[in-house]
Amino acid sequence: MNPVLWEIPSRLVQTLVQNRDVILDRSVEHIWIAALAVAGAVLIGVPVAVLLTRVKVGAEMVIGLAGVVQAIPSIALLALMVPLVGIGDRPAIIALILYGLMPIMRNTYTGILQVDRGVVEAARGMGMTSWQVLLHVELVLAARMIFNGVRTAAVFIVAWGTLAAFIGGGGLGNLMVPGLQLMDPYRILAGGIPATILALLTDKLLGWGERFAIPKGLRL
Amino acid sequence: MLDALQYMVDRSDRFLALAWEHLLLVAAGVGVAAVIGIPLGVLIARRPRWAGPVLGVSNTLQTVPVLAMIGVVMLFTGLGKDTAVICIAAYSLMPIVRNTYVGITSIDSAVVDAARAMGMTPRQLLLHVQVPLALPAIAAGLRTGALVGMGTASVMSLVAAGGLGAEIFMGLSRISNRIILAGIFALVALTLLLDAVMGLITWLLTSPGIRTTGPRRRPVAASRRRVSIGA
Repeated sequence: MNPVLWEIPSRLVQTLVQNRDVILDRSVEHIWIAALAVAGAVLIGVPVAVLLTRVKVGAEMVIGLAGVVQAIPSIALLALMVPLVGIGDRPAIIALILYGLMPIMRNTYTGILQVDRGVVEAARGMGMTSWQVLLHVELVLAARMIFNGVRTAAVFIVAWGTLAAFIGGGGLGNLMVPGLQLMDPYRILAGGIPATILALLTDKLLGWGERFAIPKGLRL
Repeated sequence: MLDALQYMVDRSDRFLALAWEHLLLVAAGVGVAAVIGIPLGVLIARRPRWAGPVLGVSNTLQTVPVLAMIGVVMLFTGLGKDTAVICIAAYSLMPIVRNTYVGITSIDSAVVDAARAMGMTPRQLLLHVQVPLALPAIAAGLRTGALVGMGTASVMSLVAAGGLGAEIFMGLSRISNRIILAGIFALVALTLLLDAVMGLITWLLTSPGIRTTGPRRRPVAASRRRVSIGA
């Protein structure tokens, strides 16, 4: 179990090289599941948050509720899907969507409310309809915050997606679970290292993309 | 649903023991993170050049999937509670360091100048001005850290460290909805309880002069809205 320290890197590399085909397959699967979950969270989170900025009734409550969902340990949320939806990729994606909703909704909501009212008034005064104000002024000015929320959610989803294996979902977690059962850290890391790289890459790529989400005039 | 509650009541001894084990793991992990994180936060608040790298590293730690973290730590400490506590500490470090740093650096510079002008030494300034004013932020960091720790601790039964996750994993491997639900109920109840207690502690640690109202933090969105109407 505890090999000499200098043996660790070479054994790790060996495990990774031996399993490269499986690692590649599972990585692709992992990316798919994460991408679907992020897309779902954006498609639900952004419109709902925009709606909340319009009606304002119970907005705090809905955002607070999303916060409570976020506080639930992720393994509990994933396990909860088993009695409700069953096992496989679908329940895993649903749980990950729920998990990603909070940062996206909160950032969209505060991002839009933070837009200077004077700018909105000016846009109205120019004769923009409320749709135009939303699409061309508010969402554009809030883009940075919204994108930041998406980035947070995406990193969460990629990282916690490894737990999907416990409820029968695909992804890199499937390489780690046998390692955990055999209590073999090298096996765990055969899935763990690619998963960590994926999470860090997601963070970096979206951080880079964040700059392009901001209109030119607002870039610092 | 009722099945699960019945199951919990029938085995209340086991559930209480697991919940206690869970809390001890979180307390140990967050304790270690606090002992490292708070001084680190104070340090980077005074040496801004180190702030970037330190916050960057703790942020990166947060990104690592928990099972991968388990694998890395297991290489050195094997199975058991040590591994669990190290993992929990690694994840709750970031909120604690960041909140300490932000808490201290966002103190009104006029207050700091006034304290200096009164002849306070840097040490007095830190202990009597900066830390008391930053305490609410530090406590909020500990609260977030504890929440993160709860989540991390819930998978630590995988390294034979126990905790309420044990019930959930048992339920998953036996495909028993009753056990899964019972484990989830217990875990969520414990999480909400811990969050409420940490909220209360935050309120108690806040110097009465700078308290807002109740023990709950004021929601960010609400305060921002007020600002935008004023402006």
